[in-house]
Amino acid sequence: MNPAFHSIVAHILTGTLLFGTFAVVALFALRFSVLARFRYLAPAADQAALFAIWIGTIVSIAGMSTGFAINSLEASLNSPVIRNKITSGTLLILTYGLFLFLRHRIGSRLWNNDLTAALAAFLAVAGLHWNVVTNSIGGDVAGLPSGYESIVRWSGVETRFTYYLPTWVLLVMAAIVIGMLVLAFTDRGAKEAEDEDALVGTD
Amino acid sequence: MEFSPRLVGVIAGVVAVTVLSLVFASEGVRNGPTGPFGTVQPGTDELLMDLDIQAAYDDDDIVMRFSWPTDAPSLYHDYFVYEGGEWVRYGGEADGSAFPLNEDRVHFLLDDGSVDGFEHYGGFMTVFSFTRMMSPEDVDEDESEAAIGQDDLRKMLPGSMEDHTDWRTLRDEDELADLRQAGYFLDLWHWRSHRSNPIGWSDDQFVLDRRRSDDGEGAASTNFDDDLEQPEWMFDPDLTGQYAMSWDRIQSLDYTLDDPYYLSEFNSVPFDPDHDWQDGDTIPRRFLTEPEGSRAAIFSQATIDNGRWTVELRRALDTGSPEDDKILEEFGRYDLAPAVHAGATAGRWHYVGMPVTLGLGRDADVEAMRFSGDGPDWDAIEPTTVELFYPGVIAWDYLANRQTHAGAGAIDANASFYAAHDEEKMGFYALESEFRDEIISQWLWTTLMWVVFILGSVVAFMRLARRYGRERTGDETIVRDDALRAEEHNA
Repeated sequence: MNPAFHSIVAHILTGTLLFGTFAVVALFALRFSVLARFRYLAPAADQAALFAIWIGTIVSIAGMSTGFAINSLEASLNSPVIRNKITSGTLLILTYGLFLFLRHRIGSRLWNNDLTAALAAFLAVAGLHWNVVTNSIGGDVAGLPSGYESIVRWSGVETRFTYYLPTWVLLVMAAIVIGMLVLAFTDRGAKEAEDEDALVGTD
Repeated sequence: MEFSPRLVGVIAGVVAVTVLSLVFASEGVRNGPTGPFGTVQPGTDELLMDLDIQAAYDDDDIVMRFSWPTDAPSLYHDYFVYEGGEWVRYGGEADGSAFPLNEDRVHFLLDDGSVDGFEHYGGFMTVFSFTRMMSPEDVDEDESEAAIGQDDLRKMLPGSMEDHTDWRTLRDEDELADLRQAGYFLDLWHWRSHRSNPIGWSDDQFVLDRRRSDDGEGAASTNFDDDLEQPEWMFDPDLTGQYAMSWDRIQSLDYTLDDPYYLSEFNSVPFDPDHDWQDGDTIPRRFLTEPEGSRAAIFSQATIDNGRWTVELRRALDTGSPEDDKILEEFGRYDLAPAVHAGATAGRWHYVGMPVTLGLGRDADVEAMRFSGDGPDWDAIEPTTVELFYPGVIAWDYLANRQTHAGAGAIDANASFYAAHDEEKMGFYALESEFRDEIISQWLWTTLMWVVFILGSVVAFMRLARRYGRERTGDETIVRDDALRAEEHNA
């Protein structure tokens, strides 16, 4: 495959996801009283975000596919830069995918709960972060290294090394995520909320 | 908004993992598993080294000057140490072990445009996955000896083989001779701090089907009588004030360029087995004599000053040996790929530079200035600084293969190395290349754990958020419920 095709796909997904994330951030910002008079725009922003992020996420999967089509799997796995792109691309699709799942699971009521809205906004911004990281790693703009990659490197993460963590850190991550799930699933209040869900239903 | 302890716990968990990951992701390959070689690798802050190059020429000679920083210059190579009545050999190990004794070296490959691609890829074109020390198990020496007459596989050029992925396809002697006559070889100037410099010479070699020495005799021979199991020569006590060196002083790198740290025809006498040898007495394994023939083409002189090696190499522009050396001419432009063995390393554990151009009286990365008299005025010649990097086990058959290297297509097109890489990046890639399988495995686990962590933490947060997050109603509603809106629409 001509690498240019992958670049075209990457530009499309970058644009649509940027637009969708902007709509999500705007939606979240509307909860602040200073912007209350613009809340009439919320339904439009909600639909625009949904549409753009759907398109962007599907195109992201296409982007990953075209990326794999350029190089053999072995060549991709042998490259620290491409390995990092695979990781960040996977997290990009995961975070936007979770956003879409929550939006469809809860419906537009998502935006009326301060914490679920915050989570949705966080996921969209995190997705955008991974989007820019993915397109920055190993990717140059007109022959110049991406500035965003430099920002990521200043934060202490070396994008040119393979992203990997020591085994004990992975075990700590596993323990923490199990602990968080236990906390959440043994909370009576949360159970009541689930029951409430069942009664109200979702869209 | 209500913040339950459980919700705070979930948020704290996410923050903790984020911080932990940032800290350890920044550590890079140092967190990785031990590599297959069991050797000491440079740290991530030791992957680069600056080398200053200057050049000058007159009607007859070219003089190259190299300078690089050194914390612990090594003048040492290999020795026989007297231990319990026997002479035991130490040093000279080319295996990357923790405390080797190895001489410091500076060397460069030189081409006149005869080797396609060398101007972009330099010394990487001479190293293959089957080259010695490039994998945990070298090619069996008996097998390579029987097949191509080489007991170990050293630097080779791709064109010396019919298929550069298979050393068994090495061309026959007639074809290799034709290639050499046509200029398809790389000249190798090879300065050694112990095995030639002490008596004022640099080794002179070339690379075609392996790293070969120019015709003639080299400066270093082996100072040992296998039948008598003892050295053949020892220090002349009248000239050097010693019969032998001190093993303790060698191990603490205590000798200087002014001390008798080498054994040569100029400071030795035949070995005396009746001398009262003591444990720790040490005699160099190398015996230096003036080189001869085409191999005796490069004079050297070196100093260590202010924490820097400075090495001057002088050779005739035309050595009269066009099948051993690249003949240089005024206004000619050549490609030069330098390398340095520093910190008592050997073999592939060195620093390499991508090719720079050398111009004699014309524009180039390193511009050789014309001089007159005995020697150049180096203060008047601006040095060119070349960034060297650790090359790891990156091999040409790996680089040129589309199945293994994403940039193989660019190499096919003879694209510049710098189109996709720089020295800093290559240092990282090279270090990772030694742990490729282990890193890929750990990377897969890391990616999987990130996916599990993000999924799990979002599920946990959602369960708590919907319970404890403030639900907006009435005028505070941000987006009215879809179902309600649908009802209104229908109405």
